[in-house]
Amino acid sequence: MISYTVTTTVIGVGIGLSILLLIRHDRLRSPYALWWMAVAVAVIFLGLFPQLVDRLGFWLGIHYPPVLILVLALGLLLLKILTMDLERTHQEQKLRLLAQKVGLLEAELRRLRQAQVKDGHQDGDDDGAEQEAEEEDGGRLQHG
Amino acid sequence: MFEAVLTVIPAYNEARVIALVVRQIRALGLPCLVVDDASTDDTARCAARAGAWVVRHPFRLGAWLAIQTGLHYARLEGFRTVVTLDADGQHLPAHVPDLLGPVCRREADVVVGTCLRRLSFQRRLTCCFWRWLTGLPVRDLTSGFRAYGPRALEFLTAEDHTLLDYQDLGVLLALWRAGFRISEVQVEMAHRLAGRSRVFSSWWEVFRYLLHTGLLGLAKQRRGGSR
Repeated sequence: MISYTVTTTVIGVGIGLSILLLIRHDRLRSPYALWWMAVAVAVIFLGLFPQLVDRLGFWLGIHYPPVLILVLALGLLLLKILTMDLERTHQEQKLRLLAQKVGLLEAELRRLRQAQVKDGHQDGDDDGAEQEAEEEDGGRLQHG
Repeated sequence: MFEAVLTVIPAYNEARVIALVVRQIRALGLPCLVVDDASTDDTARCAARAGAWVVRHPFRLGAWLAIQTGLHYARLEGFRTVVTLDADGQHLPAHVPDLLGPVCRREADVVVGTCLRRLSFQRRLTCCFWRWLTGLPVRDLTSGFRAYGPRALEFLTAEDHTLLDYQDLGVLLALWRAGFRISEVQVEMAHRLAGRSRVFSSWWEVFRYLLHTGLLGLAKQRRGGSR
């Protein structure tokens, strides 16, 4: 049977290094990178020195120290998920605004193009232009 | 009397009836904007052919966002009042002047057109619950037949209000909390020409709706006085 320190070291260092690698390859953007960096350091540290948990538990008056880690981890995860949903809501708002703006701009563009075609038609330089534009317009509407 | 009024119809897959509704509105001499919420059918083209202006969403955003896009359009084009109607033909354009009355007389910022006779049992129940919860002075909170005055228009086009889901209630609540004057006008409604209510399609939907909007109501109890 191997010592439990080996197991925690392998798990801790594995997780920590994966996070650091992701940050190094720019897969995690700045504010998230900072959070995960802290997680990586903590995981590596606790993996290398699991006795720290016992010591900390003793200081904080917790009879069964491993619970401390579970409670802390759960609390931090909850916090993280909450901030993720906040961020998602914010992004959803921006996405909606953007979509509305695209719709309005498209309508404006269509109107300008029709006006242009009409002007061209009045000048008499291109008889087929209006029909062409209308068809193109219809086609675009259909494709959305 | 009804200068600078735009009618806005949010539409999703209503190609079969949209042209009829648009023509009825145009016959009243009112400009009409159809906001096509990324329909997969010919709604946009049918509406445009019937004489409406059309704005298309690039993907589906829901009924309230479609209405809000209409409100944005109204402000961009200099309209001061907006009347919203459903695309399914149950709101009779003939009643548009009734809705505009209180807004034009500056007696109300928002007018809701209600038809109590047409309220289903589920709808009555949810509305009762809602009035009890929020104190909103409207009997049919779910009606999409509404007139918005200039101040309401300005208020509702703010960025914060892009996240008002459950448009019927969320919007009224936001207005109510901000102290806008909301009033109600009795109107006749026709039977839907097509489709059916998406909100009250089953008891499960009613439950879900109550849960979501109940939370909304509790979270946004009105504080302070009137504007």
